[in-house]
Amino acid sequence: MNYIASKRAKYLGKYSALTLVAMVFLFPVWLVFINSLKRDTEIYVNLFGLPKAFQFVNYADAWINGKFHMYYMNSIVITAASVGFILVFATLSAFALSRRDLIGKKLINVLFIIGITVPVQVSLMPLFVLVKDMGLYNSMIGVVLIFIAFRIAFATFIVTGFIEGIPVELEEAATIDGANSFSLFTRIILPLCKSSISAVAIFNLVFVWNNFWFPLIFLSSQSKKTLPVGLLSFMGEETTAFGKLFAGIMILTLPVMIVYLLLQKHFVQGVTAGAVKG
Amino acid sequence: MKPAMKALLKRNAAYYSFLLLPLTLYFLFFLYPNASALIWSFFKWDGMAPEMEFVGLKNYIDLFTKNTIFYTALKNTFAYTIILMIGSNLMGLIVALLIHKPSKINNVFRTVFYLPGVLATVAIGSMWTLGVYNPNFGVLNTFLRSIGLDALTTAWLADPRTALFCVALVHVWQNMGFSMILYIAGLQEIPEELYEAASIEGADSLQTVWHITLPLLRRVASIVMVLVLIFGMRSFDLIFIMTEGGSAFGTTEVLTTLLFRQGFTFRKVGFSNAIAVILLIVVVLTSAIQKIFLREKDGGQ
Repeated sequence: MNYIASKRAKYLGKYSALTLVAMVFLFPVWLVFINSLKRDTEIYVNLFGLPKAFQFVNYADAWINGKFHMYYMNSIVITAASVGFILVFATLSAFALSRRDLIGKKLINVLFIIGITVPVQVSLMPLFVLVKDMGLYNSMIGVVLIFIAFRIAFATFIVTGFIEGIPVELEEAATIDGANSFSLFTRIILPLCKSSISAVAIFNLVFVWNNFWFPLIFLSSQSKKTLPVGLLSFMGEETTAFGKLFAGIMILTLPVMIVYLLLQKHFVQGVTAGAVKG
Repeated sequence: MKPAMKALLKRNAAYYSFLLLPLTLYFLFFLYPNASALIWSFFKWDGMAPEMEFVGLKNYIDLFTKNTIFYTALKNTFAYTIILMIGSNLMGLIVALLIHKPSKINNVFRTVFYLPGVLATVAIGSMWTLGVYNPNFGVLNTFLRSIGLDALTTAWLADPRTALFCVALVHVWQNMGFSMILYIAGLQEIPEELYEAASIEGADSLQTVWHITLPLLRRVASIVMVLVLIFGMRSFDLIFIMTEGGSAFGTTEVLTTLLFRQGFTFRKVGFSNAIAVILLIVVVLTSAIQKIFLREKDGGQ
């Protein structure tokens, strides 16, 4: 009896402590959420409390006047294109690298490891000059190409590790039946590495969606800005319109939070696979 | 050529073609600019003039002898990285120890603690700058005032005594979920029998953690350490967003912000690239040293 009681007390104590920590931990996110629903005048006097009247003025303001509807579209286009190509290229490369002893395979692997460790800032100046020379400055295509180039190494690495764990016998049997390399890829490999592909997809989705760095440097016109860049300029220009800024943060983070809550299993897989490989 | 040989080449040709486009993009937009960075660090250039002037090691020598802010940046980079490593590892490990067993409620907590890891840095930066650190109505100062500690209130991100630490703390908040997930994965690999044996021997939970769990986590810990170290060394985004490009009177200047300002603002391209190369060497060296150090410890046990 005593033993059970003390165990229950321990359990209760542990989880109440954890709940408290979690509440403090999430407080900044909560703060942004409730204040995005208040008017600016209320934010100054009542930062912590719930809004007196829930209203979506800030959201409308950010969406229409703040041009967030435009940034939103740009973010979707750039993210979809980048992630789509990263997936196609990474799975194809991983298939080739894990199934054939190609000449230069070792070199390619080493070059990909470089791609995973080198800080982005190292190549920034030369990349900037290159992009300008190629006429790709202020072009969304240019930004997509850069995203692909910077993410392909890591993505290929993870999928390669996964494909190497798939037995070759299936493909050998299919080859005898007359399948060519492309149909081996589409009919056998792709269906079998779905889980690693979704982990890579979600990971890059979040990366590209959240990245402000490449769009900030390589896109100049207002009409091509992405959400994070739009939010950044909000932060610079409007030092008094906090409600609008908070609404902007919510517009930027809400889609990712929803995807995260729905597909968290794949996030965990992606983190673990990436770290163990790296 | 024998038909079999021909067929083999032909079959591999398809595989080469799979690699063609991705490798082209990788070479053009990633490897080539990185190689250029290395080469440009031996030149003097403003980024626009048609001619670059070869200056040998001058950029590097200037960096170490003339530029005192370089040492500040180097020191700050290490300080920031150490705060991140200690904070992210310690918090991640403690939370992982509490919630690593698979259950519904633990899963909820895991979701909560990894959440900042998926949020955009721009959002996190503005969230903390305005909501928490804002000197007028931010959470921190409001709280200190409410308990009568007005003397402790400050402009957290502008005050040279607090700025670097405050930004690093946000990075810890963003990153601890990452460490936690890896530690949880490591903890779930430890066989249940070991814990049972320990409890039969009469070990309490702290003893179990100390004598069984922690030694077995060494491999995961070394992975987490090296990764967080690399994150810390190359951190840029939060510092850039929260302290206006690392300015704050130079107190939050790190290598990445320094090289960005030298290159894009002052147009000293060669000089900026010399910093980039130093950064690269520092990242590779420190992570290599750490890897060797942790591996040796591993072997000794």
